[in-house]
Amino acid sequence: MALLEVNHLKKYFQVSSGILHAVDDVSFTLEEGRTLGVVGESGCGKSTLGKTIIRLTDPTSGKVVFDGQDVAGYSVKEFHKVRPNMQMIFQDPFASLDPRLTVTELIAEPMKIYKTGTKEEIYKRVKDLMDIVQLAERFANSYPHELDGGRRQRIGIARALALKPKFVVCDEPVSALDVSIQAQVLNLLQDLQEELKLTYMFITHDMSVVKHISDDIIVMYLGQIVEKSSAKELFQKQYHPYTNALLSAIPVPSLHDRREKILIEGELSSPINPPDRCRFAGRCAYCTELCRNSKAPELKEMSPGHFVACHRAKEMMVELNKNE
Amino acid sequence: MEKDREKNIPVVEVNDLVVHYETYDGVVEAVNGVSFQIKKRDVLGLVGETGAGKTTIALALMGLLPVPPSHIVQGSIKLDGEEIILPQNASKAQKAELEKKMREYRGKKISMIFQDPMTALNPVIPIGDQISEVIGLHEHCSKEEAEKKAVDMLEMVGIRPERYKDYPHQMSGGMKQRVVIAIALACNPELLIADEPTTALDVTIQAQVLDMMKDLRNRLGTAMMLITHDFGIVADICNKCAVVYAGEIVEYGTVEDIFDRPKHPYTIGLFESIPSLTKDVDRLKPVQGQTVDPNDLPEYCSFYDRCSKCMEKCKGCDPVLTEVAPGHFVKCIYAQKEE
Ligand SMILES: Nc1ncnc2c1ncn2[C@@H]1O[C@H](COP(=O)(O)OP(=O)(O)OP(=O)(O)O)[C@@H](O)[C@H]1O
Ligand SMILES: Nc1ncnc2c1ncn2[C@@H]1O[C@H](COP(=O)(O)OP(=O)(O)OP(=O)(O)O)[C@@H](O)[C@H]1O
Ligand code: SF4
Ligand code: SF4
Ligand SMILES: [Mg+2]
Ligand SMILES: [Mg+2]
Repeated sequence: MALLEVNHLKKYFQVSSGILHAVDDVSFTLEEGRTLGVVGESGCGKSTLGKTIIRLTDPTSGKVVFDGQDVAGYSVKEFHKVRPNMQMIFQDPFASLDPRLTVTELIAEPMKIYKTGTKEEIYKRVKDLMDIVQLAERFANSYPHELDGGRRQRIGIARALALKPKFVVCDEPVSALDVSIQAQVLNLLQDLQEELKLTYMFITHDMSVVKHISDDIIVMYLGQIVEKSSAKELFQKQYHPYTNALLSAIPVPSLHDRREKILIEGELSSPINPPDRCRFAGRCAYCTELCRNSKAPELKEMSPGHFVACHRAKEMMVELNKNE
Repeated sequence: MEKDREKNIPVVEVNDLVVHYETYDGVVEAVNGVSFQIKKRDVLGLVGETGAGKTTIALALMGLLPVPPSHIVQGSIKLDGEEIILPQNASKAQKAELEKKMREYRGKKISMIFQDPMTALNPVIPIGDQISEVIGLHEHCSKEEAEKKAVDMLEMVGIRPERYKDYPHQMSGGMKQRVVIAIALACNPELLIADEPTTALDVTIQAQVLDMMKDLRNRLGTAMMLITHDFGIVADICNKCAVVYAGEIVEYGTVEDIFDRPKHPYTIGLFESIPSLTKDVDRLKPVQGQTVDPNDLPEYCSFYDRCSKCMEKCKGCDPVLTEVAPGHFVKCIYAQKEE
């Protein structure tokens, strides 16, 4: 059984000019111990998806089946019991940590809220957690602003792990870090996954990071999944024109291996009151009459485990992968 | 005459800059003797460890270091040839005059894109109005014209016009950053300081923003300092690169020097830490050891504890940044000997 099953999940916001479809009918399953990478345009709904799954914000509709229970329908009180199992590591370790608390207090905080044990037990666990995330004991009484970004992010990880979760949403956990500390934190997350059988949803804009850490990847565009595949295959073959453009735009850390970037031009679609048709149509180089006049394409499995939402998926499979 | 000036005087010239933060737990030695120049059309990439002092350098150039806790211990910063660091015993009048000049500079000549977009955005004003206000100030145009231009700027950074009246909290992290970028670029600055401008953006929008920055450089010859952790961005837009470690520049050169002939063990270690797009590796290879504590820097080479090349004599002295090939500087005994 999958640990997490997300079914037709929607999250809409009322804004001044209409209803904003931040997450619009997203479905996927995630097996225990695996990592699902989530990529897509900034503003396409990645953070909202993560927050809605772990109920930091209420869904508009849809199901979130976690460990066999539909938690999306839970009341706040009922959800309180599940919360320890579903945690989040936030993108900005600075903004998400209370500056008035010391490292020890920060890590102890979730355990105090959930009264997981006596004072002694909690402080013992804080020590263990600092050990797990490799924060030296001498930082126990430091404040977050006195630490560098890497150590601050370790506090965020320790806090997220304090309640022994099964599932962790990692929202750009390494974006603010230099590549060496990033490598340390990614290694740490992988070790923890192995030891504790953690399941991750990993949101990032860094394509080399997402390739390295994920088993599967979903690509989102304006609130919807447009492509889903194993990480390995996605970097070899793309079936959706947006994914293709996205991967072409990765800046390569070399002066020699320069590639042609596919620029995405044309009219941006709006997430506010979007019409029922392909949301990428206004900017798609392969858009035809068919795309303009049909309803939104559904996610279809084109090859084993590789899904795409595009009316011209069959042609795209050939067209976008000509040089393979 | 004007031409000569352009050629000779760098837009920015920093010499031996030392900046400390004085905190309850002691002095944080954030910047320790940094020197560099940025000429017209140059795009200098500043890379290095988190906490190495990059943002501090940027804030010093803008005259925006928070006092207290920060304290410029020594050094000189010249913008367009004019000194902006006052002597320790400067009078009140001198300070007020400099503050006035800096405010003028910041409005007209220098733009900064801050690491945290919320430092630059007002939470209670719709984002479109925030852009049009800056345009109005700069171009002295009518309110309608400024609003029209603000809409154009929003579209250029990929935000739909109907989001004009949205407040910052209604936008995603990357969308806020794009608003900040739109404001900074709308000013047509002579010097652009960008602190991790595209970290929160996906790679397609990042590519568009980098193109806008290139266009600015090509059109107006804007000099830029770009702080980033992403070597892909450095390769894409910078012509010079400085690698910062513990508040010092440990390697400096053209991008060719840094990418094709890196010499400092830290620079080499950074390149080895990057996950590869082409190869599958199970485990990444970070630089060994932990960040040095800027509260407690050693007398000798600050990279010593983590260096795979260190030798006995590295502990005996603190190497100086030395030119190992024309324009390529390294602060390492091992790399200097190798030449
Ligand atoms: N509280 C809110 N009120 C109104 N709109 C919101 C709110 N939170 C998010 N949105 C909108 O929902 C959409 C998705 O935002 P979200 O933060 O999930 O994007 P994201 O994919 O995480 O982007 P980024 O990569 O920039 O972090 C955006 O259009 C955003 O403006
Ligand atoms: N207001 C402050 N008070 C005390 N210490 C500070 C303050 N601002 C920065 N520091 C310290 O100065 C050092 C340099 O910080 P700075 O922000 O310049 O680093 P950075 O290179 O920009 O790092 P990052 O890549 O994480 O943004 C760090 O050790 C930091 O903790
Ligand atoms: S459905 Fe049409 S417009 Fe949409 S991505 Fe596919 S080809 Fe492009
Ligand atoms: S001077 Fe010595 S310790 Fe310092 S970086 Fe060079 S080899 Fe390493
Ligand atoms: Mg987000
Ligand atoms: Mg910084």
